[in-house]
Amino acid sequence: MKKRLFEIRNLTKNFPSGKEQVRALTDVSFDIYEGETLGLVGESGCGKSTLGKCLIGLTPPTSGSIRYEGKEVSLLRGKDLRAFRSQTSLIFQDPYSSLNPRMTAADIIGEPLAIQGASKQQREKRIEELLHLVGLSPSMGNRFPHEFSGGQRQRIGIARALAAGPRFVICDEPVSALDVSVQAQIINLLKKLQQEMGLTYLFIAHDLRIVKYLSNRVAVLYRGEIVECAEAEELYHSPLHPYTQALLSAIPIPDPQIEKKRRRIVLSGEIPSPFEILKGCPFASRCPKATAHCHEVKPLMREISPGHHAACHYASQPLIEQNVPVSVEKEEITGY
Amino acid sequence: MKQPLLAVRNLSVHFSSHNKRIPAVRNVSFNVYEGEILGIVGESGSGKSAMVKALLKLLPSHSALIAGEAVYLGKDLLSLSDKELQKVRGKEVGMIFQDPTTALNPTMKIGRQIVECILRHCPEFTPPQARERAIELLELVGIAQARTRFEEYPHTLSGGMRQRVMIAIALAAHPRLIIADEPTTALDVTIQAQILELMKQIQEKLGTSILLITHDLSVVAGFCDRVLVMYGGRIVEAASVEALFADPLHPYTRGLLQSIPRLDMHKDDPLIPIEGTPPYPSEQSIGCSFCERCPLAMKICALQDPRLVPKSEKHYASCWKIPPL
Repeated sequence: MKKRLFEIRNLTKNFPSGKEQVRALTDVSFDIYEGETLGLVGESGCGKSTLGKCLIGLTPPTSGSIRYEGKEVSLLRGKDLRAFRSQTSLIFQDPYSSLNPRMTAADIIGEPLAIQGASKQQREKRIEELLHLVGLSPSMGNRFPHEFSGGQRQRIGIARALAAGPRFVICDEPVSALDVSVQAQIINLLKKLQQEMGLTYLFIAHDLRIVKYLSNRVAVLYRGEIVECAEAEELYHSPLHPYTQALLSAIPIPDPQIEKKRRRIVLSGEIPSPFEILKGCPFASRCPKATAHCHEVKPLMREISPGHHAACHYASQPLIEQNVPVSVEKEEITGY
Repeated sequence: MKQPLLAVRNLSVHFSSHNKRIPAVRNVSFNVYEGEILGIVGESGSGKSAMVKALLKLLPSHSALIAGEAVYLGKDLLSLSDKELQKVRGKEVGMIFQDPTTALNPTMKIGRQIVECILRHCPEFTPPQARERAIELLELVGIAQARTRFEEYPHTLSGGMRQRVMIAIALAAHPRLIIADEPTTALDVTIQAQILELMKQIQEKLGTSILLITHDLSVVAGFCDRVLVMYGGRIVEAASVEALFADPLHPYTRGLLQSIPRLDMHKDDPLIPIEGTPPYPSEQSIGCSFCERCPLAMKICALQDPRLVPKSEKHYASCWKIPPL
């Protein structure tokens, strides 16, 4: 039996905006198991980053419960809170704004160690190990962030995230600010580190190809609600929620032959305003199969097949004919 | 042989900075044909945006030095005066920019921004006619209740809607060529699919040529007829989209294709990254700009820049490893 690291139940987060409330997260429930990578996908503004921040206590939830190893995160104090903070960590999207330009790489990486009370010698040794671990040479430690390229800066950000010896790392869009040809280097590094150190990742990204490649399970977030959650292969092969189906059909595939045969589910309609309290399904306004029932009654998350949860009234029936060609027999590609 | 709509010859762009001349685009030549969608793929700093902006002289004139020719229907765009160029921009060649939020005027209703473009370039329209035409255009780009939306300001629209307005403005004066500079990069993937679908429909309906700039090879696969791959300010490969994906020739193109995770890839399949980082434009190289990162680099690669040579009729690449036709 896999061990649960996080248990999230009915997490809701509203941000006040004038007299109204921005509903960033509504009734989100899921678990994160030790050693896995949980991918979190969704469009911009759907609450992905807010969810990550709530998890590690950077922003307090409006209601609901987040338990880390059985303990309620919002009730942690003193020693327990310090332990929680050193066991959880975050890699940011933008390696340009997330490093202090006036600190050297070694100081940036060493700061979490200093907070933990490590001596200067211990720190120096550990910084050297960390630089080596993320593929930088230890002599680069006394350089400043502007002397590094984007990919190297992201490596520094990763070294800093790992400095305190975390068990759980949130990767919030860690490659989307990088050049395409550099992204694969960082993806491989994250994968290697997980294997070596047994880390648990929450991998937040809008690029579904990268999420599929890295994740064991994937949760799909739409306007602050989880609409589907399943094993990565299962989710990409047989998506049950119409939103997931549309999302997958929209991913461009680098193969003109497949693209020609492909039919896209092109959505119309608008995402409902974040201020509105929705009676029905959040996706009803854009869903090609929505009925009056969908606008009136909110579908609850149900386990449709073992381990595959979806929040759709009609998820048990094949809603839209399968035209996502992820299962297309791969023809032998010659030339590379 | 078809006549090209736009023939670019030996185009170079240098930026002057601190008394240094930094090459952004180095001696680039290509054609755009009537009714085709040409994709230009490259990473940030590869010179793709500088190249198309140079075509319409949209770069700051005090720092950008442009050399070469860009012949559009018999006239060289680069030698036109500012006044003559104003008749080309928007009228003959429409532009769609990456970020629709900053490209639209926030203090003007969207309808007026379209009307402005029509009245500027099509003197035969009276203001009421231009208004009707603007509403037609909004309907064409798929904006529901165009008559009401006409009176709205950009901030009330979503990112996808704003990009549709940008497309409507680009189409307003019936251009024969539309330059779209990363039109979907700022948008979500479902919205990206909508916008690309729309651009394709418009291209089929009106026969407009489209020059699509993107950093995403996968977008090119489903959308373009031909592709130019740029690296370090040079075109390293030019091919029909089928040929490029079936048989990528340049090591950079191959590397790029291997380093993108694909949906049909297994979790344990290796992702092969391109080592190193893209060159800074300020680093002058006499040889091939990719040679430092190239797994196949030879001695000559660092010494001499390979020319873009044909491997077959529709497939060009610039690499010393590729024997010419």
